[in-house]
Amino acid sequence: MSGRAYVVPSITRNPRRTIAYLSGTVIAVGLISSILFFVVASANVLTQQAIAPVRVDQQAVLLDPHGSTTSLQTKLARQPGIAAAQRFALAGFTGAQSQAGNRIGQTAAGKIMAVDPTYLSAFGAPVVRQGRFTSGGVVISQDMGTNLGARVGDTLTLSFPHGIPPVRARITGIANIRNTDTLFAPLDPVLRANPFTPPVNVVIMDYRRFEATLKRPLLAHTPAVSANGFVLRSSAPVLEQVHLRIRRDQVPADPAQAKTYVTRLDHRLELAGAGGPGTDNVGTITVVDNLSAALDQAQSDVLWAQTIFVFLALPGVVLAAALSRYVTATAIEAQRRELALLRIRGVGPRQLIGLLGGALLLVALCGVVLGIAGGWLTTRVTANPGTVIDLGGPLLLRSLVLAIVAGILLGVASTLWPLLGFIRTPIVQAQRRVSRSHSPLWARLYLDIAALVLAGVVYEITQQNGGFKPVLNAEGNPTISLSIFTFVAPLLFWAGSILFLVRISRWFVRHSGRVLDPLFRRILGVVGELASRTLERRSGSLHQVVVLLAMGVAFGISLLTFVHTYDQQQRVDAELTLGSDVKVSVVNRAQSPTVARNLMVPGVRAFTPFRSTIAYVGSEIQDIFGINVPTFVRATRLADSFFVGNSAAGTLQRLQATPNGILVSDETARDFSLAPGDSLVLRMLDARTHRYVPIHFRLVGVAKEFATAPKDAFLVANLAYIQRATSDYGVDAFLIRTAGPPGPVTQSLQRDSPMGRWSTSTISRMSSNSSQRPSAASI
Amino acid sequence: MDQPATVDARQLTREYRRGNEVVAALRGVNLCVRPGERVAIMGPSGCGKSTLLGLIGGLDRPTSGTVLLGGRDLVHASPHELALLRRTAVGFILQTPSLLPMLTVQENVELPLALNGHDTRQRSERARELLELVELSEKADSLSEELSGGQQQRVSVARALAQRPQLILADEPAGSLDSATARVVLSLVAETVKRDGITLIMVTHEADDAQYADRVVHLADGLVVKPGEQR
Repeated sequence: MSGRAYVVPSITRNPRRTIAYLSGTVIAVGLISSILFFVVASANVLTQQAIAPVRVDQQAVLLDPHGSTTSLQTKLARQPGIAAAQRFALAGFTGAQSQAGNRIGQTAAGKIMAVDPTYLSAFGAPVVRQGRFTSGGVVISQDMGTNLGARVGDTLTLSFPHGIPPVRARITGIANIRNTDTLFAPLDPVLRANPFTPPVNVVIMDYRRFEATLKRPLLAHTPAVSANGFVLRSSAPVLEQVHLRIRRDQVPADPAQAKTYVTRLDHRLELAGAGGPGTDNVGTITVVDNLSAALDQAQSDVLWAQTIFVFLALPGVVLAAALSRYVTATAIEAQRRELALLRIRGVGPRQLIGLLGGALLLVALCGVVLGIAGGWLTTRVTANPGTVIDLGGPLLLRSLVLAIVAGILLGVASTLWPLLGFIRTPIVQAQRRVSRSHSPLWARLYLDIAALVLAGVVYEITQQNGGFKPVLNAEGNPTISLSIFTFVAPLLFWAGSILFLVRISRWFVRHSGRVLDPLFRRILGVVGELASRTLERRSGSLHQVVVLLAMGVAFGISLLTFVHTYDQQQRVDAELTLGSDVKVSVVNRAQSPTVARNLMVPGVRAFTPFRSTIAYVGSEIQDIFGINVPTFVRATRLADSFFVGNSAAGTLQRLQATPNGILVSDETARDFSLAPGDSLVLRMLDARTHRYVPIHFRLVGVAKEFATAPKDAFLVANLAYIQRATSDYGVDAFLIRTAGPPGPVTQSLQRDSPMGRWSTSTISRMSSNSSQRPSAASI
Repeated sequence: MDQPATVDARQLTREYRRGNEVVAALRGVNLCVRPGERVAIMGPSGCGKSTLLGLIGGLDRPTSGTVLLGGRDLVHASPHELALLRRTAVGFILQTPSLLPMLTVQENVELPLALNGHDTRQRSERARELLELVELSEKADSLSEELSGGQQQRVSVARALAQRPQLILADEPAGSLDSATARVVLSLVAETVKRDGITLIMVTHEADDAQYADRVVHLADGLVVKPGEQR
């Protein structure tokens, strides 16, 4: 049969029906694609946020100490995708003295950072606050300036070990070296993962001067290179590197793809260093990748967006399908009559499916295009200004494919499926309007009631377990994670309430006459009776509208619940990772009493000292936290769910009552078969003798989670006991609970920090990673 | 050798399930219609006239019994075979003019020919010829909904005749028309089938309509109560 004879006129000469089918698909695809694009936009925003603070993307390190950094720099600068390549050397000095007339200042050891003058502008860090960086002079860090009491114009003398002559230079600038920790971090990947203290005294020197005066004498004292040529230890006298900034515009917007791109670039750089085809070999290099580390965080945050998709898309797809079905219902009824006529005239089932499929596919395709355009527009309008959606990104392509497939399936299924059912029935039956009198399966099985009851049970279990129970990710990483179970209750509630409303609506449709007739007659007389009958006759449409409205409202409530749940979970997660609202890390532990005296700024409700160190449990190293229980309970929030077999208050009371008491993690208790009351001997570093000494503890409780603790193995003990036993009375940090938002407290503490004695982290900063994401509520 | 009957229905029963109740629309109907014969099936509403017509046209399947159409067994035919039979051998005229609203008058008449794979020229010529027969040539390019009820029913007649069927099944073809128009339409059908030697089975409840038939079969309560005699 010539399909055109029916297909084309059925689309072009029946605009109302075509628009109805088109609208169904547009609604479905629009809703799905806006959710998908939201995920894409989130991924893109997260990538941008993750890489924005990274100044030096890669550090290419020459493993051969006698290799030429200059040749390496030239070679790497020519590699595609590289925006800047600059020489960088790091060396230590044993002391420094500044002099200006009679004013003399002295300070302890520090680091020389040797770079070309163009380095600072190429990477945007360190930032010179006073003066400028010239090839003739040096720039010193603000802290070093404070320690020396030095100013721009003073003369600086640096001293070195091994009889290397001192170096004198004029101070031409003072720089802020905060947020440049990666420049000084150990390059050895094993050590790099550990916390380290960046140097306070830093001198920025011209690379050529460093090369001419210091490099050779310092290198003369390089320790023997290991068999694999690895000289990344921070103890090496000169660490030579080439710092790279890659072209950010070429980094894919999807974090996973961005990471793959950066990793490939790393390998290409390493190959280039080793000498590619037709090029000189400058020596083996290794590339330390700072960008990938940042992207790891973004990748885990993308999971958040994907979680949103799972929880929003499922109800969204159901809603879209229902809307699509509703919009097309009238058109389907009209088409049923047409199909009956075609069947009478001898169009076979296969031909009919071909004809219908052709027409519906054509309409669905147009609907998909319009729906995607609508979804795109919605995302562009609701996403944060400046959000870039990578047009070539695979995530977007995947989303587009998914939206197209889902759209076509929904569009065609919502129209073709009922029509196919009609095709299967005998023609004489298909000509009649058939209404189902029996209840659907879910209603007979009472799945709606079951879902509502289950939602209540899951919610109660969640509450019994301490509400929004946080889950930590990898050890020590300040990441935000979600427990998937937190969202089960809202999802079940959504499904259950929709089905329950459908049940009520169905009941009303069946019994509306009995209820409405007397009521309307009493109020409006004969007119009321007529109105009641009219309503009864139109009860099918009424039922559909009620269900659709209910689905829309329930979807909105579900969305709001989700966003609220996520925000709460995010805050609890961040709080658990950080320890409290604000964490003040002490730069020099000896100064912790001074730091403590400066913490009671306005807005601080309570603070507590916090010691984080390590202890040997047998041969295994574990983190051990020293806390002061009375202040700790005031400054942090501990859920009962953190502890096994006892409440938070009960566990900490027992710890406080037992001076040598200790809490062990669930994992530690299992691994070492420990139970409360057991005696424990740990080995910890004695500050006086610098040797590990045995220290006796008594187990008083088991914890599953603890502030700042990794998920797996950790120990918690009384701070005073640890301090006495290790002869180390300093603390590493203070955890602060604020009376209001932590932002002002953090700002105040940052402003007041004398000579960089502490650094602050705040829960709001951790949460801000996600608060800058496109708002879920915007969907 | 005798030509086989156009329609040979034996012991046809058709039962429907309505809730838990089984309703019998036909209860063992026998009907034999010879080639070129014009048969009117009459009877009160709900006696099973339309059900019988549906079974003869392959629109429905009997609960039991057999239907042979031109010697071909419809009961055991596949949906595809039934569709082919309807497309080539049977023309339907229903009570209400059943035209596809988005097609023009000419396209509606051409559609059965398009279904049978005729080329555009053949389709166009045949449609014009039939529209002339039903005196609607000037309406060829109008959409069907722009026509009056009587005109639409005349187009339905033209459409039913388009593929030169062996059998025309007419289910109260004048049921929705005024008496004058009804006479025009019924005369047209009767004369055309007689001229072309097409078998006609027409369901009607109007006694006057029987004048267009060679034989009148009376149905009541799902049974043939009077098989009728050849006039």
